[in-house]
Amino acid sequence: MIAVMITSPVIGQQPIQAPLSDAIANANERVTVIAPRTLDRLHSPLLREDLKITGAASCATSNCHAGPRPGLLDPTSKRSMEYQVWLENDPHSLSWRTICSEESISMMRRLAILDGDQVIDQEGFDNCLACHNSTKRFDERRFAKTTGQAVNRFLREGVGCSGCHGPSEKWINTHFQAGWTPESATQDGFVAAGDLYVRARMCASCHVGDKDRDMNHDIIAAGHPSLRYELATFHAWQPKHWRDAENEDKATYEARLWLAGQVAATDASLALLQTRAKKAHTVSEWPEFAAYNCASCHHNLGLDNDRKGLTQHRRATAIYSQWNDAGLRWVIEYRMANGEAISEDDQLMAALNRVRSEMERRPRPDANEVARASASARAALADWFDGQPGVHERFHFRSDRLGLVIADAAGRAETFRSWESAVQFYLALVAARESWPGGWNGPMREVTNQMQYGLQYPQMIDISRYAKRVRVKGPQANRIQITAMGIELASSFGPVTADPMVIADVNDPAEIRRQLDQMIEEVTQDWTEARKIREESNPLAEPVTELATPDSPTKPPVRRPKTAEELLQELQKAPNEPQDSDE
Amino acid sequence: MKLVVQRLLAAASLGFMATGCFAQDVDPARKKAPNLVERLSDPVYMSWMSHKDVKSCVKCHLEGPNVGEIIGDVQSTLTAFSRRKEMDLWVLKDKHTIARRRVEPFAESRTRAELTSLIEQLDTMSGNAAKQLQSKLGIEIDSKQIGLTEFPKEWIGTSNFLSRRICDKLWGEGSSDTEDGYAKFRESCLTCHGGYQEGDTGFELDSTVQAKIGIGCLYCHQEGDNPKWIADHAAPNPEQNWRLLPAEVKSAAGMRDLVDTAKQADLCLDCHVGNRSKNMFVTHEMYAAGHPPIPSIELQTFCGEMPQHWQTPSQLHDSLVASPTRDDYFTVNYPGVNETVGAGKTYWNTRKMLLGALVARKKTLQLITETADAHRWGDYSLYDCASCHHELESDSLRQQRGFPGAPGRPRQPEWSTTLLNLALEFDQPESATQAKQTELKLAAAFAAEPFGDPNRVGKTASVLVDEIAETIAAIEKKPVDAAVAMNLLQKLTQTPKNALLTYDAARQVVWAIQTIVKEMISEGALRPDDPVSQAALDLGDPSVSGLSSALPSTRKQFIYEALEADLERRRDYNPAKLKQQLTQLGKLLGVTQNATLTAH
Repeated sequence: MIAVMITSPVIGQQPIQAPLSDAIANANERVTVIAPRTLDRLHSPLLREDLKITGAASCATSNCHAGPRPGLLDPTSKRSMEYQVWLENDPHSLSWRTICSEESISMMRRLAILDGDQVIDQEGFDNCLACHNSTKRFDERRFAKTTGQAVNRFLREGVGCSGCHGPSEKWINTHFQAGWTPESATQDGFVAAGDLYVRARMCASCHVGDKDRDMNHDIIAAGHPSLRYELATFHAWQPKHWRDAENEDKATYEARLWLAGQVAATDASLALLQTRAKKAHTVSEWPEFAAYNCASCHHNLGLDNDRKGLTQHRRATAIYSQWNDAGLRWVIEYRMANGEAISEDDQLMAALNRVRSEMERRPRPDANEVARASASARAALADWFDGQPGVHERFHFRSDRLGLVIADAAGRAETFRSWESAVQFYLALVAARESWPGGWNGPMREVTNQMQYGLQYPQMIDISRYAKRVRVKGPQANRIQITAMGIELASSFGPVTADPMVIADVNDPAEIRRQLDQMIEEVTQDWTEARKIREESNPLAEPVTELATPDSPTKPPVRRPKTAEELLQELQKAPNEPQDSDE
Repeated sequence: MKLVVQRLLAAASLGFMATGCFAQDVDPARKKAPNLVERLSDPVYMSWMSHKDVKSCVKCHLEGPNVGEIIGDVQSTLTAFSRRKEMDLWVLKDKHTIARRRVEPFAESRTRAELTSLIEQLDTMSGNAAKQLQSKLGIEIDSKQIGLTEFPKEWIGTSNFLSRRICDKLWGEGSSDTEDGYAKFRESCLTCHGGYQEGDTGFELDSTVQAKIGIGCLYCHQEGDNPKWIADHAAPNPEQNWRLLPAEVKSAAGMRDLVDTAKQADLCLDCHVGNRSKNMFVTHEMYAAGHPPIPSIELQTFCGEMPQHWQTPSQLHDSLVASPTRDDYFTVNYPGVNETVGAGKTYWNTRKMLLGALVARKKTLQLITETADAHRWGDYSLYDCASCHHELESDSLRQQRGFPGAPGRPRQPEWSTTLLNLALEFDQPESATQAKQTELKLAAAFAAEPFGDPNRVGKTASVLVDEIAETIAAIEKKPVDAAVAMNLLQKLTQTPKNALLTYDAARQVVWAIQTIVKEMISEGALRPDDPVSQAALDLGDPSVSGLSSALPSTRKQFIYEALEADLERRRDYNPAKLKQQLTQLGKLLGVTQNATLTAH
């Protein structure tokens, strides 16, 4: 066994030993490797294959996490009724029920994971369980001791304690002892979720996907909603089973959650993409469409559709999803525009661009190139995060700084080019609300709400029961309206210098028709004039007044070429019956 | 103004939908042939009449005898073999005639200049023709009556505007006004829209009324540059000599062999399916820039809609009733067919439908094999548009249709496989033919990964191309008579639902059924008012089946006007409903649900 040394400035100085199987040399093996020079170290316990998981029930004793309300016995007690909050209020505890729902069963049948009620594709099923249940590792194979057959025995509990806090085999008996610290327990499989970046990356491993779990396009096509993770939003939705003490520092809390979420989402999406490109996910096939912007293919067709080019090039290939890296790009772009950027910023931006361009280079992107590009982007992100830019942003990011990032982004055409990016923009706006002029209930609120309704968010993500609670309260808006709202809102935070492309983007969808009508009209006028000149130059031309008389029925009616004015009238008159019928 | 145009569009598409009727299929020219004044006022007619490329054709193939000669300013040598309507039908109705003019990417100023010059040239041409008609034949033409009676939108207008948008998007704004930009347009677009091949002249930027405005006679009828056939086939008494010569001799003299149905199909489908070797291929980039979708094609239906300007072998058989060499003609040209059933009893259109299906599949596969390597693979235009461009919703119509295989994968354009099995089974009644097995292998190669595994797809498709070529050769010699046609019709009504999942695939079945039923009517095997005829007609009536078998054919109809309605029908298409109707038609034909049908 080879071991890899990982040191982390964030979660403790002690090296973590993680098993690294021979599969590192063979990318096609099923592996969950904790890769060096990546942010894997943040959620490394979740990638461990060697540690067992204990069920939520083992945490639920009255002395531990299933006790009375906090403060009832001991006013300073940290632990009390986490289990009950989770069990009764947290959607994660319902996720086993979700997987047993009619919808999920239909999806699994469409995916040929189930035939009737029988699991016929164990790997596909395990991939579902990897996110929907805490006690089943994606890559864990369990065999019956007697027969050697794969067995399907596991505790059905939804996403329980271990799903987020890490496999508890080692720390379950130590984590209450004196001297125990979360950071030092990382090597024992404990996720030190007190750190926002650890928390963000831990959530992202399911809510974006990871090297060991993949909610891919097949599954979406079978009916699963797309993943639309944004930490600050999801964090606000989740019923807290912990003392959310950081919440007190309002000027920084949501902004930092937002940034942690963007970093984590970018890293998780790159890890996922890299594994997909290496074809190391048994459930996925290359190319993986889930990495693209849904709307680049799934859109209406026809002359009047209001699509505008999503890219500057005309390759007409699918475009790489902006959902997971839009926010991080805005931060780097702001640093660049503000003269703060150093080489780590440039390298990260270049690496992200390379991933995008490899994914968009041809209909079937080169898997090896994409794998390489995403690996170097992960490394560039780790360098950025551990280097001066990441350290600086982590400790100085506040809602006012987020506001400046937003104001800078509002001037870029790309920000409003896709629904994905525009929704991320809206979510960033909300995360910056501590800096809204006039506060949460001030003038910005109404426009922000309009923007939300206009984007039909979160209705369009159809994720979890929370989304379904929100009814559509306002009209849908088009790109032009959204851009206008975005610029208006961002101007409250700082100067918005709109790129000329933003202006050019403000293009009326009816423009095509209008141009067309105008052309026909103008050409008809030309024709009219030409005809007039012709008539004037021809002395024989006289107004034709005679038409076929009733007494000569066999004589065909005199044909009369129309004057230009008549023709124009004809064009303007709504015909009652088909005039262009060929027959 | 916008409203007006929309109303016009709506009116036009109503007209378009009203054409899908068997009764109108007889001979469009016979119904309401334009009179002389109308002809002299028709820019398309007048430009072609005086075009140097078709001067020799005018002599024998134009409605006449004398008038056409005078308009075209030629001397004619008429023969009994020519019906003298071929060019007339083509030049008055057929959209191919202005395939180029319609898509010239004119700038707005150019559009105006073109219109002015059209009016001037039309005046000159029709004025001269009118004088000649008066002096030579004493026909009085009222010059006041000559002229455009409506905006010539079939000549210039929306298509040009849209074409320019496409060019702007593909090659840069205004690029088509430059020599370089126009060269790109010529090489990518005029291959189909003008019959351009590398080195051809007459496809320059400064097009005029006298330029090649579309696909002319020679594009299809002449092979290479050898014009010898033009004199040869019009030599005195040609029906005894020329037409009894074997195809190789005619080809050697420069006449393309269009008597051979598969070769004819090859030519049509170069454009209507695609042929990369001739640069005839609509890429996804072109579609994304605005090119309308290329419709799936059933050869006989499309030929009928052109409208067909030539005699079918069946019509020719009637026309040659007095000829002593009639049998020889069919023996030479259709070996294997005439000896058994006889040309008079052959269902030629049904035969063409089968051969067209095979060639369409072959050409689709060739488009696939040409780019089946890791880096060139996956141009989206090779897949069914609707497999990506569809609504996103839970429990959608698509999910209800239940496509086989992993969900969410781009699918082959299934329409080209729908009639293939029918043709394969006709060739070899045993259901397990080699080609059918290869089709299954190909489907598996496509299902292996998104877009399909290029290596496996490429190899399997090449094998299938060869197997289909063998089937084509076999079917060309195999007679198709009334019994075969009935059997094929019955089989089509039993098409399983999983072969009707896409709109295009279903439309192939409907077109094939209508082709057979029309032929049964014209052969006297079925009355037009028979319930079977009505049921077959209903299959293509959108108000009944949700599916339209009509085509925006002929030059007064426009694809983009029909497109919006077409997209709606595609969205709402319900295979179960069509399946039900097919079953009803089957019952009328005496097919019971469990009957096992074998080919003739």
